[in-house]
Formats: sequence, structure tokens, C-alpha cells
Amino acid sequence: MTTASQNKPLGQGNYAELEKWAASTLGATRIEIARAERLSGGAVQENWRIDALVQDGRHEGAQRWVLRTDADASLMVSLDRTAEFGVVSAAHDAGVKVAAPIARCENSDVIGSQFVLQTFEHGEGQGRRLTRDPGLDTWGPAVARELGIELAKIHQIRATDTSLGFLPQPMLSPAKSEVAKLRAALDKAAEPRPALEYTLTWLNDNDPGSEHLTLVHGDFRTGNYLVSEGHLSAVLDWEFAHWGDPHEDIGWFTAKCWRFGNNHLPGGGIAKLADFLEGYRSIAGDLIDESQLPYWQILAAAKWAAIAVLQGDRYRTGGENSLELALTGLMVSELELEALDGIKAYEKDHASR
Amino acid sequence: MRRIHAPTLIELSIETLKNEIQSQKTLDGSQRYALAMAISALNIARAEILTEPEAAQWQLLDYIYDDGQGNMKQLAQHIRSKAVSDETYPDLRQRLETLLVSELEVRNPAALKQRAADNAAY
Repeated sequence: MTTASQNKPLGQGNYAELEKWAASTLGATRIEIARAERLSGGAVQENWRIDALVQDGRHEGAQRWVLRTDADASLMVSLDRTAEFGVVSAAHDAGVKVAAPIARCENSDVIGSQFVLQTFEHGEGQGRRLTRDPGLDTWGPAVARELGIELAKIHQIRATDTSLGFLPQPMLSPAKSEVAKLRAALDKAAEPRPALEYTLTWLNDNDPGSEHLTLVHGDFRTGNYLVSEGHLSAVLDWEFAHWGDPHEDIGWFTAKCWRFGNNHLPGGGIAKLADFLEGYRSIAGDLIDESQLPYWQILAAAKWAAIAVLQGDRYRTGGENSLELALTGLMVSELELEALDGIKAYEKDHASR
Repeated sequence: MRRIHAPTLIELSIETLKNEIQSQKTLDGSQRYALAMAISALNIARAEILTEPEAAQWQLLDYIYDDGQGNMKQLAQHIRSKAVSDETYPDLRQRLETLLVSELEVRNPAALKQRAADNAAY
């Protein structure tokens, strides 16, 4: 389900409050916002590009930042902005390519809700544009290797990391914990989906078990990273981060539903799986077992289906008159069928072993 | 004489929007995306008018429950509690698949074509 926030739209009307807060937080004598422009994308978060002139302090000079705040409605399963800032900071400290965290504001008086500031990173992020790029054959394998390296760095962050003590430890196995979250979300959904329930029951019954509990990005896929001049520039959108099984991120990244039609390129629709795994294994060694990926790809299809149900509910019951949300709600059957096809293939493969 | 009825009007609207996208060179990406979404929605509406989208749902419910006794919410709950499962209803998965295929025939026939091509390729 979704929650409404009380955002004031960012504009010259509240520049002064933002400038005052930023100057005080960043140790500047004065900050002037020259321009704020809402960036496209982000059904759950709103992203604004901020051009600012900073006087004094460690950020002195012309700066370009991203201000990230909740959109009008956010999914209950996502982290709030300050928790997400903590996760991005931990990833930044671990050497992951991210938009560097600058500051967080937990006071909703400044612009109407919590927000964070990060550096603005250049690059193309739209999945459909990346997967349709005429030069994909040239840069795709290299970026897939870089993505493998970055994801492996994320998976080196373990539950013993005290800076992430605010992330809850799963009470069940990572797979069963994900199933429980999706069931809890579906309990509040307006439209019953028996095929999705069937998939979740199958996932619960076929849990492969987990050897390692690591930080999981939770939305690591094409469309959530930036590519600039043929190289990865930043991993974005950390609001679904949690402790879990590292296979979960790879299942999500390689799932058919995130290949944008390039089904012959399991590496996120941009490269072969081997390219991605080469980079991943160069850092993580044998942390993951490739034979488990089909299970986690089925979980990925089920998770996206559940999210699509919730997005559809923002139209059905949430009062948001958006054609995009209504159409997303109708995508559920495609994702459920992908999951059922995955189960069929999984069982056929296991029966022949 | 051609009848001007709902599917015809939708079809003509789709053609009009497609022509607009092609002829209006000044449309930016987000405007083209919005028009493409409207075309998708109209295609779905047209397909829904021309089919009986709930027929497959009733066939599934009739397989599980006595005539007129079940509904989709109940079925979802029964699958979660395992009162309805592959053991109790061996064709369950196949029946669910049939329902999804019938939904996609309305909502996204292109996805079914892609699925058939993928199944042939792998």
C-alpha cells in the first residue's frame, strides 16, 4: 500500500528555507540556489537537480546536487530518506560507485518532508534507452562487468556492520522473509491474484536456504544505474536495501522482466550473464551458486508483480488519476506468467538431475 | 455502410494518435511516451470490448468450487492456506496459466508473441 506525504513543491517560494538549512548544515556562510529542476522518473521518490553557489566551507564553489525526497505516495516496503542516506553512506564508505551523500534533513519544516542531498552524477539511466542503444555491443559487456564488481562490493557489507544497525534482521530465512513481506503487502491489495499467491507458496516451499546474509541493494537493475561514456558512473535508488541473500540482487538484475525485451542478454538486458559474473566473482569469489539463480528470478518476477499490484492500487483505491499507474496495474498478469513459466522450467530442470 | 460503434471509434482514435506522433516532429520524449501510453490503453479497451474477459475467471472458479460458490479472493486465500494446491487440484497451475494467457490476450498480446518466440528459441 501507499502513504501520502505532504510535500511542498520545490520552488523559489521555499528556496530561502533550503538555502538557510544547507548553509548551516554544510558550514557555509551563504548558499544561493540558482536553479532547481525536477528530474524525470521516480514513482516512489522525487529527485530534484539543484544548482547552487556555496560561499566558504568544504563545499565552496558552484555545486550541482540531487535533492531526493518522497513522492506524493511511497511504497510501505521502502526505506525512508534518512535510512536510505545511511545505506548510501555505508556503500560509499565501502567504495561502491554512488552519488556521494552530502547531508540529510529529518526536519519536514524545510521543504515539507525529509530529504537528502547527494552529488549529481552524469549519465544515461533510462533502461529502455540503454538497452536500445546502437552502441550496446561495444559498451554493454564492460558495464556489466563493472556492475558485477560494484554489486560484489555491496555484498561485502555484512550484518555485523554496526552503522547499519537500523536495518531489521530477517526473522525467517532471506527467501521466506521476502515472501512474507510480499504477502503482507498483498493482504492490503484491492485485487486478489491467485496466480501470484500460487507463486509465493511455491517459493516458500522451495526455499534453497541461504549461506550468507549480506547487504542487498533490493532494486539493482538496468534503469537504476547511470552509464556515462561507456562506463558505469553510479548505482542509484537504494530505498529497498535490506539484509538478505546475495542471490536476490542477481536474480533481480538478470530476471527477464528487467531485460527490457533483450531476452537474449540475461545480464540486465545489456550483456551476457558471464560478463556480469566475471566482474562479480573477481571481488566476491564463490559467494553465489549460479544454479540457484532461476529460483531468485522467479522471486524477482513475483516481487515485481506484487509492486505492480500496489502501483495499480494507487489508481484503484488511492485516488491518483494516473494512466501510467493504471497500466502498471495491468502488467501483473505478464509477470505472474513469467513466474509460472520459471517454475515450470525449474521443476523440469530439477527432475532431469 | 460501416457501423460506427465503440471498437471502431477506439480504432480510429488509435490511428489518429499514431498519426499525430508521426507528424508532430516537435513532440519531446515525455509527450511521445504519454501518447504511447494512451494508445496502449485504447488497445486494451478495444480488446476488452471485443472479448469476454471474465470467462476464463469463471472457468477457473468452476473447476475449484461448486457452481457460483467461489470468488477470486477466496481462491487466493485458499491457495495461500494450501486448501487449494497441486495435490488437491492437479490441473491448478495449468488453469492459472490459462487465466493469465486470456488476460494477456486483452492486456498485452505482444507479450504472448514474445513468450512464444522465447519458448521456440530456448
